[in-house]
Parts: sequence; C-alpha cells; structure tokens
Amino acid sequence: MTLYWRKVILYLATAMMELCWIYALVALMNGKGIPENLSIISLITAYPIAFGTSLILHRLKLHRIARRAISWLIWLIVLLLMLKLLLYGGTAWADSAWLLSIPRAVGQIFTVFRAELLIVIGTIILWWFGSRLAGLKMNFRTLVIEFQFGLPLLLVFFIIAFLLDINIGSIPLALLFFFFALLGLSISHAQEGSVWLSGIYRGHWAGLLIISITVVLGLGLLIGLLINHNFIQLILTGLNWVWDIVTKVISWLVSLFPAEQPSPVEPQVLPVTPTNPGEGTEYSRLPEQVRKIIGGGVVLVLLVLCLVALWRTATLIYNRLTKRAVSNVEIETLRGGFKADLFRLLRWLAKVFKIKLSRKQKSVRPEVITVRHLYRQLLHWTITKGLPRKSSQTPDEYLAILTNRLPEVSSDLSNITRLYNGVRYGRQIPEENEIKELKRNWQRIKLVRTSRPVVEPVSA
Amino acid sequence: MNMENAGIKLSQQDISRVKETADKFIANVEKVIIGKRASIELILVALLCESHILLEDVPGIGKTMLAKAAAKSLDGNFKRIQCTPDLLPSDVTGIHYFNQKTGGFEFRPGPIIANIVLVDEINRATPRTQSCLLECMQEQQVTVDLDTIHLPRPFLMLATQNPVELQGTFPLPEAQLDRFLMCIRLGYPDENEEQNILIRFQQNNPLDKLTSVISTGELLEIQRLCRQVYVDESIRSYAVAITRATRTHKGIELGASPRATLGLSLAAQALAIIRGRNYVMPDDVKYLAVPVLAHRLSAKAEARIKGRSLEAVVKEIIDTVPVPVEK
Repeated sequence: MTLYWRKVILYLATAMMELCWIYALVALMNGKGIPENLSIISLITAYPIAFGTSLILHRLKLHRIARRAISWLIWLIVLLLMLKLLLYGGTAWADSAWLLSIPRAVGQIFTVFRAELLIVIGTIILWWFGSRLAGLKMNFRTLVIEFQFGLPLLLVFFIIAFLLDINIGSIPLALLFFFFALLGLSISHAQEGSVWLSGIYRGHWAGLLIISITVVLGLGLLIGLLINHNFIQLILTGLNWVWDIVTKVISWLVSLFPAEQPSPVEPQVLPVTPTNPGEGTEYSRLPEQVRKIIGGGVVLVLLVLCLVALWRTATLIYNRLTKRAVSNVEIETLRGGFKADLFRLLRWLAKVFKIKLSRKQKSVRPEVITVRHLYRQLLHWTITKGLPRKSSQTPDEYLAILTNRLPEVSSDLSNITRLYNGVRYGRQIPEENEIKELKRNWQRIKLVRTSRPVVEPVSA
Repeated sequence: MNMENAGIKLSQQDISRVKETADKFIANVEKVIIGKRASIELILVALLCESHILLEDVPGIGKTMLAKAAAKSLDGNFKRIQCTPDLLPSDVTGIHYFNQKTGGFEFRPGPIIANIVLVDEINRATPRTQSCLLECMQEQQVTVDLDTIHLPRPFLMLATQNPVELQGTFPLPEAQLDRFLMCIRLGYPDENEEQNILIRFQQNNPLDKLTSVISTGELLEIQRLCRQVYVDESIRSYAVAITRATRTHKGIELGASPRATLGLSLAAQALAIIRGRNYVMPDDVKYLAVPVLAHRLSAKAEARIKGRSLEAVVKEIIDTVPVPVEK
C-alpha cells in the first residue's frame, strides 16, 4: 500500500467516523422536530464540498482570515442551494419566499423546529467539520481522538433515538463507524511502525487486518441479530417465572404477620376502567411495605458492595506502592484518607437520597408527561398549519377552532384535548390503552398534512 | 382515567349524584322560566357556594319569577321582603316586643330569618335598611338590640333590582355589591321563547304547581362536596391573574376584591361539579368571570362617558390574560 493510498484511507476513515455521528444527529433532529422528512444524504454532501473547498483554499495560500471568509461565503451559497433544491423545488428562483423562509424559521425557533433550521444547523456542522478535516494531520493520535470523540456521541444519539422511538438506522451506523475506526486505527498504527503483528504474520498484514475487522463486525452483527425482541421476551418470561416464585414465598411470609388495621377514612378513588380480560398480562404485586423493605435491602447490599470494592482498590494501591517504594521513603497509609473519603461519600449519599426522596414525592408520572408532551407537539404542529393558539384560548376553545378547520380528525383532536384537560387540570392519570389510543390519534392527525395545504392564520 | 389520591377526594358516585340533582333543579325551574338555562345554572352555582345573587334587569323580564321558582325548588323556609323607601331595618331583622301576657320582652323574627330570602327591588330600600343586610349576607347572623341570632343554614339571598328606573331608588353601595357572588342579567327572550311563555301561562301560572326537588339537607351535603372539587395551582393563578388585572385596567376605578377572587374560585368549583367534573378547568373560570366580577367593578368617568360596559371590560381582560396551557 503506497503512502498516497494510506493517506486517502485515513482521510476516508476519519471522514466516515465523523459522518456517522453527524448523520445520527441530523436524523435525530429530522425525526424528532420536523414534520417533513428531509433527505439527509443530500444534506451530507456539504461535508465533501467543504473538504474540497478547504483543500483548494489551503493551496491558494491566502491569508487565514480571507480563507475563512471565502470558505463561509461558499457555505452560504451551498446553504441557499440546498434550501432551494431540498425544500422549495417547486418555487421559482425569483420568488423571495424560499429566501425569507430562513429568517422566518429562526424567528419561530422557540415554538417550532422547522426544516429550514435543520438545513442551516446541519450545513454549519458539516461545513465546519469538513473544513477541519482538510487541516488535520493524519496519524494514530488523530484517529484515536476521532474515535474517542465520535463513540460517546454516537452512543448518546442512539440512546436518545431509542428513548424517543426514532429509527435512525443504528445498526448500519454502528457497523460503519467501527469498521472505519478499526481500519483507520490499525493503518495509522502500522504507519508509525508499531505493528500489532509479529513473526511470520507480519507479511500478511493487510489480509489479517481485513479478517480481524470482519470477524469483529461479524460477531457484533451476530449478537445484534440474536438479541432480538423474542430473545429478550424469553429471558423476561424466565425472570418473571422466578420472580413469581419469590413473590409467592414472600407473600406467604407476610401472611404470617397479623394484618394491618384498616384506616378509619377510606380514600375515595374513581373506579378503574375495566380492561378486556384478554388484554395485557397479569402481574402479581407485592404489598407496598414488603417492596419498600426489599428495595431498601437491595440498595444496602449494593452500597456495601461498592464500599468493599473501594476498600479493596485502596488496599491494592497501597500494597503496590509499598512494594515499589525505596526503603527510606515513607508511604502514608491510605486508610486514614480512605475513612475520611468514606464518611464524605456516605454524607453525600444521604444528601442525594434525601433530595431524591423529596423529588419522588413531587415527581410526575410518565403517562402524564406523555400526554402533555403530545399536546405540546400538537400545538407546534398546528402552528405549522397556520392555526396558532391564542394565549387566552382554553384547550376546549381551541379545539372548537381546530375541529372547524380540520373536521376529518375532529374525534382525534377532541380525544387528545379531553385527555389533556384531565391530566393538566384534574391530576388524572390516563390508562395504558388510552395512551395507545392517544398515540394513534396523533398519528392520524399528522397524516392530514399531506392532503391539506397551509391555511391562513386565524384572525385575532 | 385514574385519579391521583392527593387533592382529589370526590368519587364518581358523588359527582353523578350532584349532577343528577343539578339537572333536576334546572328542569324544575325551567317548568316556569323559558329559555334561561344559563341563568338558572348560575343561580344553582351560587346556591352551591352558599352565596347570594343579584338579579338585575329591566321590568317584566321574569326576575322575581325566576327567584321564586328557584326558591320553591328548594325545600326550605322561604320568605320575601318587598323593599320600599319606608322599610325599616327592624322590619327586616325582627324586633323585641313587650308581651303583656308574659310580662317580658320577646323576639319576633323578621323575614330575613329564613333559608331562602327573596329581596325584591332591593334598590328601593333606603341605605339604612340596605346596610342591615350586610351582616346577614357576610356573617349569616343578625344582631338585634344586644342579641346575635344565627341565621338558619343554608342561607341564600336572591335580590332583584331594576337598573333603568332610578327615581326613588338608592344605588347599592360597593360593600353590598361585593357581597353578592354574582349579578345575573336575564335579557329579553327571543321570539319563539316569548310565544312559548304565552302558551305556558295561558291557562294558569306554572309556579303554583311547582314543588321542591332539593331538600336543605341535600343542599348542605352538595355544598360540602362542592368544596372538594380539585382546583389546580395553575387555575388558581389564572383566577388571581384575572382579578388582579381588573385592578390595573385603565378603564376601572375600583377593581375586584380578594373576596371576588375567592368567589370566582368557589363558583368555578360549583360549575365544574354541576357539569360532572371533579376538577376545575380554565373554561369554568372564563365562563364565570363576567357574572362574578363585573358588578363589583367601578368604571372611571371617561369609560362611563364612552359608554363602555363593565361586562365588556371584563371580557377584554379575559382576552388578555393567558390561559395556563402547554407552550
């Protein structure tokens, strides 16, 4: 492999590692905030353009400020072109609407995240990283930094995507990232003379590298395929079976104690809506007090384990230092410091526990968060449809306007509003089936956008 | 949906029971009064808050009839006071008289000592007589000579007044107006409703056949339940924001009092339970803001000259105060 090709591969590996997490970020923003689906691949073309532009500008040997000014001027042109081609394909070039869409999107930044804004943010990131790549020195250190920087970012985006239920293509992205990371790291490592192979295998360096990468990725893919929904379900069923036995034993133990006297005032709670007998799985629940005791016990055990681990680590460090020390050097025992740290840790844990406990009492249920979040999404969506809510309008008043404008989804809108009213003003907690229905309502409402053009804003 | 235990104490059965009773009351009054369902509902709101109502409108609209129908729908001790300029406080509260047979002073209760009191044409009574109602309205007691007599529970006062005929009348002072939870204006009926009135009253007066549908015990129980309706912190803030806005509005000389805020919140609770909910919504507060607040305000001279009604001012305030909703 010639030096030129090594350099090309290293540039490619770095670029691909960066592009993997940038793609994840842009896909996340696209899936989360924007009603329209934007072509991310088209957006990513800004990266190679930025790289190419920077290379050319580097060769022109201009002043640093002039170089940057020209670079960002080209970015502006690329941005406008992308905006026109990706979002306003049907609009005439002379029409100022597509140009004015950027300030409009910036103005609405606190209410709705528009596609224009995504293009602006996306191209800025891509342009900056693309330009940066041209100035990087390709060596092992750079590749390691890129890997260390990209991996946590990628993981964070994957977790966010999982939590928000957005498909950003995690598996291919992870495979791509690791492939290029391994490739780049090994080549750069070899380039610096410290090859990971020795003896007779040194002659088959490239072949073994490809085999190693293939094996690592293949194993990763195999694990990814094996640990699917059914597999997890199987494990959960097994755990549930074990848990069932444990609960039965604990319930039997609890039954040995005398029953608690009923309180004189019975709490008045609305009856729970009966669910269909076929729906859902029945879970046996432990009594609240037993659960609290078990929970406390588990926390205690974990704490003790942590402390033992700390103690053990401290002792090991101490022993190691003692062995290495020169005879006339006095080494202070770690136990005194360790004790002080331990007490400090315990005080901190008690403080955290106290704060958590007070927060728990005020905590909001996830169902409530879902309903309120969905209503907020609805409000943002209606803004994009030109039907913003006046600040003095109640949800029911607003519903009347929405159903008048969008009669095809009136039942969906009224269901969302009804649930929201109950949750927001009545401290009610929706049932699981209601949440499911709510999500279906929202999906149906979102479909309206394709058939209905933007309407005029509601007059005040 | 489930309820969280904290803050919500009403059961679905309680709510259904109250709603059923409310519907019964409204239907009963509607046997006499045609097309004024909203006004009847507001009267019921005031009854549930154990507060007083001022019915204000031009003559012949049916104010007294509505007050009598509402009073007859309740199974309580009903008295009527016809206010005239020569009406004295002792005519209202009662007097101590010398009983020659027993040789001692005895108390003869006035018409104010009743469950439901209809004070007709209240603004025809002199300020002196009007003032004797202040204690009754706020503290539900009456002081005669040195004796304090507690009024029976529930105590509700339905007063009527004519806003156009000013000769020989004495406008109610702000302190008295503030003691009325709501001021209800009935307005003219539409053509169909007026025709229906003719048909209904052709043979005889339906008021004569009206029977009570709510006992006083039942009303007291509903009043208790009404106080348990959940009011979210944001709704409380919303109600406070509305009343505070009346104090800073450029067209208002005297804004709503804290008693008005309390009244607005209580009335919203009552309206919520009447409409079958165990929590208050911003719609309840908005709906009640005009009847609860407008009569308590005092407009500035320039606003009066411009002919801006206080109702319009309150509506304007409602349109500016943000409703607590997600952003």
